[in-house]
Amino acid sequence: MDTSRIDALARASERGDREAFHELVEMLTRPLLAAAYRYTRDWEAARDLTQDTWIKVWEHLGRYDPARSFRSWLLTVHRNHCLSHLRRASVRRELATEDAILERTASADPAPDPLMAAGRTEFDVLLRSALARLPENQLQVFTRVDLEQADQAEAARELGMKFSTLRVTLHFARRRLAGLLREMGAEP
Amino acid sequence: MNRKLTCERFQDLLDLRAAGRLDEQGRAALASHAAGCPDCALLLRVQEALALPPPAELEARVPDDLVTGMWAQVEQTLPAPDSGAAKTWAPWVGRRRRAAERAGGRDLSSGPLAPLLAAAVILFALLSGYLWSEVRHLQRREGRLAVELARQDRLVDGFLQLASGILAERGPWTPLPAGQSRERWSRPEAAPTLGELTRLLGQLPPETTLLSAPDASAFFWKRLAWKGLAGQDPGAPVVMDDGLQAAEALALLHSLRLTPEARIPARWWTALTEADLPVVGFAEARRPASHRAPAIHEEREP
Repeated sequence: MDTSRIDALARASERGDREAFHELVEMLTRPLLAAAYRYTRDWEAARDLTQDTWIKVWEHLGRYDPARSFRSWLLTVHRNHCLSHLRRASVRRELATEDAILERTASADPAPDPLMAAGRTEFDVLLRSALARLPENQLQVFTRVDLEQADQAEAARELGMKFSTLRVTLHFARRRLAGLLREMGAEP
Repeated sequence: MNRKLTCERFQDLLDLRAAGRLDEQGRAALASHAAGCPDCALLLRVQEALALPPPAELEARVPDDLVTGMWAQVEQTLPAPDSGAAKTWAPWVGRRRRAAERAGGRDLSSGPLAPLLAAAVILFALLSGYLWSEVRHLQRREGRLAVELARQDRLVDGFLQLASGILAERGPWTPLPAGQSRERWSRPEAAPTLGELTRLLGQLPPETTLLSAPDASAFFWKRLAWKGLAGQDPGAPVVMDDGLQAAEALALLHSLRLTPEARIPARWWTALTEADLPVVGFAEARRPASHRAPAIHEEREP
């Protein structure tokens, strides 16, 4: 993907050029949907989150620093939005939504793609609820490494911490997550 | 080897497993340890539950109709090109401005009063930090009620977005990846002085409504501050039916008895972040040394 082209489109969008923004949406929606799917395990929810992100980005384009990569900035905004969604879903007890997702998963035709067939299970719901209860720094590290499957050294750089700090934080995040899941009645 | 595998080493093996680099002996060690350690067994299940194809492969599996239909959905919601919403200092300013325009009125959050409004709201978010002890009290008495309420109101998100509008006047600010924001915000020299905030606030007529009643009612920390000043039980229900006026905001500020040079103490801010609230951060860009603010001067603990 042509990063200079993307950055140029972002600068044009910042000046109010909707056609440029349209092109950005066409070019970058796929990675956003994939990232959101990791958080939700549901394509409809991923679509909603991605749509929200694009609207937020349009409204906040004035904060984009042209000296940085637009794609990185966009993914950071998107990740924060997905994390907020994770927390809101837990705190507001959006069980109706969770139930609807579970129902959709249960009633859907068998997925043609075995890698994606796992879908959303009861354990997934418990897991995401437990994730939302992690302290902010642990959540950031855990989601980057274990949920988004990012390289640990790269995640440490992105999060602005030493590699050793990331390792320790990840260790404590996993321990705490296991404890939370146990308290919530999850079984191994 | 299996008997000596620690929980820490178990996690190392989990990382190798995720990377597809765990050999047969390692897999046996994982299974053996998990059989006798419920927490590690849960971690193994977590890894299995989160397993998805690598990023590039997952992108290729995104349903095409979601990609092709995205622009049509986004375009329906975008503000009109001439609304200026993309240039606003806070995300909801554009929405409020359009709503006010539709109603034939004028919105306080736009125009020259915008920084004043932002100052008032940031002021309340920060001033009410001194009532953190009340939150502790609530937490002790009613479990995690206070934290949950604060999360619902998304105070920190709103606070930081408004604060960026104020602080942009004192130097360039740029977004910072989440996770780095707390450290920057805990730097006392980056905070505005109370004098700056009161001067901005003092330029408004005292009866000026800074927040509408619904907005004020939704402001968990403001409700808490109100109760603290009124000597009410912080756990009791409260109705903010008259919004927030400039004079009320100044009264709260005065009650803190800080010098005008006092910068917002870092711990007020960190007290909020201790609640594990979601944070959207901003970084202070490099500025000339002459613009550096003086050290903290506080008269007393809040």
